[in-house]
Amino acid sequence: MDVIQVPATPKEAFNKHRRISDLIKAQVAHLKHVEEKLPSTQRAALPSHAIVTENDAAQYIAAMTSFIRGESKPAAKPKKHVVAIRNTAPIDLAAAAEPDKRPGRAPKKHPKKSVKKKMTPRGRR
Amino acid sequence: MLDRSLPGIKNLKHVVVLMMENRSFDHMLGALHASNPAIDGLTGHETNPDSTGEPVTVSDSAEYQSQLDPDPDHHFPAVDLQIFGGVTTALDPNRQPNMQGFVKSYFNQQHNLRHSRLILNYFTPDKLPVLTTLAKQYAVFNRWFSSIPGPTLCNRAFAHYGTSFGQVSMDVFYWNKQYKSIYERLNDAGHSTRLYYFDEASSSLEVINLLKEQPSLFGTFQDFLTACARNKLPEYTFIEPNYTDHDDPNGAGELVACDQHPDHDVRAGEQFIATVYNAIRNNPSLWPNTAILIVYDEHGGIYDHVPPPACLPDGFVAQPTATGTPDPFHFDRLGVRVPAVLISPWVKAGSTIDDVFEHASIPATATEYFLGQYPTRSPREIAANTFLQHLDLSTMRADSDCPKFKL
Repeated sequence: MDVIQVPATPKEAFNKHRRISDLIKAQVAHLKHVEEKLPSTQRAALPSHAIVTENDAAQYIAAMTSFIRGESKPAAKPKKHVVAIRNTAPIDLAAAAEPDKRPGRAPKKHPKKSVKKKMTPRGRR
Repeated sequence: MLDRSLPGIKNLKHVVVLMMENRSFDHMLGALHASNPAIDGLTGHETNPDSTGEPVTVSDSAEYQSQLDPDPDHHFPAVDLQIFGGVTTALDPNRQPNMQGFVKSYFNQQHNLRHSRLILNYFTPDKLPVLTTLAKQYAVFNRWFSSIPGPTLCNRAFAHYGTSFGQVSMDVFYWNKQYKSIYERLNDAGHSTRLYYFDEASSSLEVINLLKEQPSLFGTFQDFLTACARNKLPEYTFIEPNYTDHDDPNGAGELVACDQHPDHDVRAGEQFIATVYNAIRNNPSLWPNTAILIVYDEHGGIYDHVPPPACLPDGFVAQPTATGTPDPFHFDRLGVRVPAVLISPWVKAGSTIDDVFEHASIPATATEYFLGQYPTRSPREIAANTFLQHLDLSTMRADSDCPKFKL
């Protein structure tokens, strides 16, 4: 039997700015549910950026997953918030935590530019 | 009862399940009916009425990306419309699972008549060389249905627990967990098992119970590849694809979603399936003793022509407040049919399997093979068909007889 060549995925298929689907919203909501149970000191060290795009979600999911799995300490709180890349309102998450009213925690209402967040390196197993 | 005297079963050491996202059987495999009539796919004449009542015929013009945007609705009320054509209550004698509401359902999202018809599109086999080759060269399940006519998380719960604990939505939190997951059962009995998610940024969809409470069950897809290469594959493996386009957290570049969930590019999923297959197929220490199941969690709102059958009630009831429909749901009907392929060198090429399967068949099969009798399971799982008896060749297929993929 001949070896079958698998077509490559074109580069333009990648769109990290795509708005998250209901599935990813649910995944984030479940992680927010876990986050809510954490002591405030630990929560403060986790990312708190608005989650609009797939890349926004991935950054939060990565930090939470590594934290849950105990592979790293909570990511150092970024000095700059990661903001929505598209000029759209953050998506309402059904199981999201109560709005955090601590000073400086609210997401920007009118994001102007993308800020790349530094993630704490996490070792792969 | 599994016949353990079958050579394929005597050799079997590993079961690997790869669960993809949101595509129906006819959308992905329906075109194979033309070359193999035993595959219950499409004749090309199936129709659905659009919102004006005009019949729309299925079309072989599915595209890899951008066609199913917005994501077709597949929450419980939408799937009810897709299956029953808009007759919402069992009090109406006209309520029959006729699969006539798919175009109407997609129309509801944008009120765009032309766009709504795209929900009937399906792929030609040449566009999906990996999945269709595996389907043609191993065994296709003609009757593998999602467990619930609803969205992802409740359906995936059936693959882990044999039930969704009464949930028909994405709010699956398992507070009243009464059945152990397949992983807990295997661990308790000293068997090795792992769930491999793609990476930390994609993670698992099984957050609340398994990831949170039993993080040691998990590994990354790279861990899976390493385990295969080192002949350290667990006895039971469940693989989750990459659910998002994202930058690699470790700076390795762009990682494209490979789950095939609309509107992710279907080609990336083809590559992912081939990568999983190759990791086992190309390892002579694994290939003779591993069975691979490739299955999709649910249909994603996309057309399929086979009405889901009734099934044994699950012992739970979802009230109308949860279902969004007039009637409560007793977990007594399966969801829409999904692609499922069983792969092993002990499976005859071109096989079709006509028995009814659902995602509870996954823990049922692993339990039957690795543990034997295990009574504390959901009624649905206990009643579910298992699939390893289809490794029924008397001699293993020659290496040259089994397909290989080049990435």
